Amino acid sequence: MLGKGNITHALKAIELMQPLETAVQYLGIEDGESFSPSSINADVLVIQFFSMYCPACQTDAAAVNEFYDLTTKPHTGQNIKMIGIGFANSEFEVAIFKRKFNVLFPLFPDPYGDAARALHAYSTPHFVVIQRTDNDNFKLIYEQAGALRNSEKFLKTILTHIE
Amino acid sequence: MALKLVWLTTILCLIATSVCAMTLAEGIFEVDDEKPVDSTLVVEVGEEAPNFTLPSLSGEKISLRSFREKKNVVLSFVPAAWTRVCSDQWPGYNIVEDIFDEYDAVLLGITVDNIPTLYAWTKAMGELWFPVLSDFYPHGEVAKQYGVLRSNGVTERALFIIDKEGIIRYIDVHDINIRPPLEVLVEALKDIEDNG
Repeated sequence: MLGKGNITHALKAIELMQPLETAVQYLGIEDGESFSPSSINADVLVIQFFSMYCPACQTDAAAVNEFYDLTTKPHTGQNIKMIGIGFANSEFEVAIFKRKFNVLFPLFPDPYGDAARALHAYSTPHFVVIQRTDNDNFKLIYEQAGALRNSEKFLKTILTHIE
Repeated sequence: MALKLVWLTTILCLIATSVCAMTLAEGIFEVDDEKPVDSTLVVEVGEEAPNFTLPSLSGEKISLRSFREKKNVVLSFVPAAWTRVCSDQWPGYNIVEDIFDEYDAVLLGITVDNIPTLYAWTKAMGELWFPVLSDFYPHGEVAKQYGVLRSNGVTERALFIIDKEGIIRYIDVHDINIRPPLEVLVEALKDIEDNG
């Protein structure tokens, strides 16, 4: 678990490969070969660490998709964005997970586990929820090791942690 | 009193299996990194694959020869049930049955664990579409035939592709501590189907 460490530093250290154009628009990032999640245009960023090889992630995929759908609704009153990071998964393996479970939010490979290490996510599934406190700083507001299970309950939990 | 407690626990387990049944993650036995490879192959690409017959979880005995002229066969040896990397390999194969179908291949999972252990372990993974075979007794006999039995009695993390003629077309005796990337296996299957 990440605890109350320097989340801003950890987030900025992560480098993810540039996603497809639709995801670029959703995330509000600039064109380039790679980007840091700290550049995502969001007040609240939900990061799901998953693995194509993880049965709990496979079982949880429907609930996670529902949760993503809820985050896109205006009734949350928050600019929430979501990404998935495939822990020790290649681009090919991430693409299989995305296709198999019809995942609509952007997924990224983390073949050497660098992103997972930066955010201390040592098991999957693992959720890290980060709030932007100003232009250049972030705060960890919620973290969950284990399945999301109930999308509405998970959203409610996150909303109660937003400051 | 003790009997009542056992009965109550059993009922509660039946009602709430998600609480009482061990999940895959809960059951993992942590092991330190091991010597990457600890055996010497006795087969090579281009040779006829040694035939074998092993018991499967379904109770059926499965022979390699039964797939001759019908299917390409992928043998996935994994070292041991309930260990981290092994538990993190077959669940991935479990969601790509369509890829194996595309390349006219069957997957046979093999370990040296006994059938009851394999039953509990694979049940925690969910319903597997491919047969899981036990090379438990005589211990590791099939692994020995291929040269992938390690000195401590478990197998290497090894993948073999055997074509429809029974010829070994691909071998990957992988570092035991690391899961083999799926795309390499898929590329090898594609190559066999495309180029015969």
